[in-house]
Amino acid sequence: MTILPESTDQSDSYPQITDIGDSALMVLLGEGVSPLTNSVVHTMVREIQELGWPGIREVVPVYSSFVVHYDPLILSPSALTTLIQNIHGSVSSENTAADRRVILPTIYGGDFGPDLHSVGELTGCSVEEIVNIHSGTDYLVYALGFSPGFPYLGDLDQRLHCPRLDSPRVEVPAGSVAIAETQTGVYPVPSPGGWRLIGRTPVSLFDPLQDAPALLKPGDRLRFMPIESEDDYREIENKCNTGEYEAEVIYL
Amino acid sequence: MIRFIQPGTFTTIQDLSRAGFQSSGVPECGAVDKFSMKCANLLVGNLESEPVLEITLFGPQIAFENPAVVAVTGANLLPMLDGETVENWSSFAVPAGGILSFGGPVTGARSYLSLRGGIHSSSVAKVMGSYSTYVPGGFGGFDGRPLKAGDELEIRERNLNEFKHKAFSSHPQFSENALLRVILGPQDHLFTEDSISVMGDSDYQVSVDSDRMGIRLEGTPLAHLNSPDVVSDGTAFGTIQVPGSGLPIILSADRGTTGGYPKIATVISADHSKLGQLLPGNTVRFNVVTREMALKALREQERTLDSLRDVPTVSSIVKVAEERIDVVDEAGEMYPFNAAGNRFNASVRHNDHVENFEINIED
Repeated sequence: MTILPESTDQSDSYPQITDIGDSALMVLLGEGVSPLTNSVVHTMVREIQELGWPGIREVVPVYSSFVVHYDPLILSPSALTTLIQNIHGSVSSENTAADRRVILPTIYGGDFGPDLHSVGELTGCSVEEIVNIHSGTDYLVYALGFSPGFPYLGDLDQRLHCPRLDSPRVEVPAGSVAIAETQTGVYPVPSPGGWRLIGRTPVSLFDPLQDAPALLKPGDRLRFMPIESEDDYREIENKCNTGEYEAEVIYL
Repeated sequence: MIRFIQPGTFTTIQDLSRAGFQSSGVPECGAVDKFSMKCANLLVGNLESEPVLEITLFGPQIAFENPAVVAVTGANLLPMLDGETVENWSSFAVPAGGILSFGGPVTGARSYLSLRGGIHSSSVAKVMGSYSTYVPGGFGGFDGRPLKAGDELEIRERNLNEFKHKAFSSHPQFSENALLRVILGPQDHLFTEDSISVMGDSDYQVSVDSDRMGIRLEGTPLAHLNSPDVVSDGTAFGTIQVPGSGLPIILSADRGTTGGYPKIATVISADHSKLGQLLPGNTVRFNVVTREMALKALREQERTLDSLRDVPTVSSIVKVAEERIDVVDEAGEMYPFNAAGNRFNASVRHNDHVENFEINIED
């Protein structure tokens, strides 16, 4: 049930605001996945959250859309729709630059990245090339979702594109750094998974007992930093376990 | 203190929800049947939001060390006190040494056990603002897991003498054939027209693979117009997503916060209670309704709960504007109202919970 009529003019077609049942609205800001649209998503979500309207329960951003959960006994969907349209009209469509870069030390290959060699065979890249390409760029955190703390990361280099595993692993260890198709990601908690594991970070991406349980925030830039030896990995891992390690965050 | 002699099939601590962390990928959690859960708390004079025990299918056997007042609501799992059947949807006193047990499921899937005074915070963990147990993540509630034999919970002290026996006479009846009202969308346009009518005209069976994450259905597959994939987006309680198989999945309390399958429709809030009570093999039928009908049904449901609530009386209306009025209660406290036409919805904070009601203004 789309509330707004479809427009033939592309620039006027968004936001598309649609009911998800009687107590949530889906707000779609564009087709596909783009950093620009995603940046507008997060700007709008922040503005709605800061308004703190009674009746707005929660606002959940994803790639090019967000969901506003509301209490229909307190807030009418038409009032909420007007609010969203007004905010959309007032936000700049310019890409707001990320304000944080989070560095994740990562050990590639061996027992930590059991699929590194198969990725090499599938892509024709050497192990060194894979590590250099994968760790040589910043990844945009489009959103967190799927499981606690799991980052949806943007835009894996085309040279590393390869299919998912034929049969998914029953359990992927926490911290596993993986790639599949056009994506790369990190598993914050142990879970089943069909992506190819190329490495592992000892840094915890999700701790339910922290005030901010997820290390990453939407809009962050994430950079993988190769760890040279297993000894170095164990040293960081020990510091993580005793709470001495603090993830490196660079404010841009 | 209470001690679990037997834990039952799947007994967890749940409150209303873990709101506010979906943007970190943390599921909403909370009781699947919130209507029955709130009812259980109101019957013993607790806040509606107090954590309770969510009991699935075969219930636990619980020994009470001290006298307590409890209520059991939701599914009829044959609650018994010292071997004698006790009434479902009512509160009752348990003597010191009393043993509460359950005979097995008669109707519905989940029962809610509230304890007057609530569970002591030394026994349960509040994580990200909620006591709800999220078992896949291992956090919240009792050690982040379902209860086991030997587990003990402390109950908060509360004067039990003040307590009056209460029963909820207008409680819902849960049927093996559930009629679920839905609002189409957000992605009904990604399905064939046929599929929309098939969804409204077919019986679906609840699969054994159903749990707190979602209810999987078996029956006539629904056809996508194009690909069964969409760019991952947000989900809501009751959203019906349809993966490549064409078989619908109704998303529930522990659902993933995002999903990449088209969502054909969403079950209305007033029928969420029924979702929590579906058993494998039950039949589900969908009925498409409007948003207005959904809101009317929700208000009616709230009104049935009002019979158990202590709703403050409005003493005067102090300001009327086009979109808003403010009212003052007997204690002189002012509350803002939001308007829709000449009908006003009020949300009145009462201690730390919010009561909702509506007023009609006549000229």
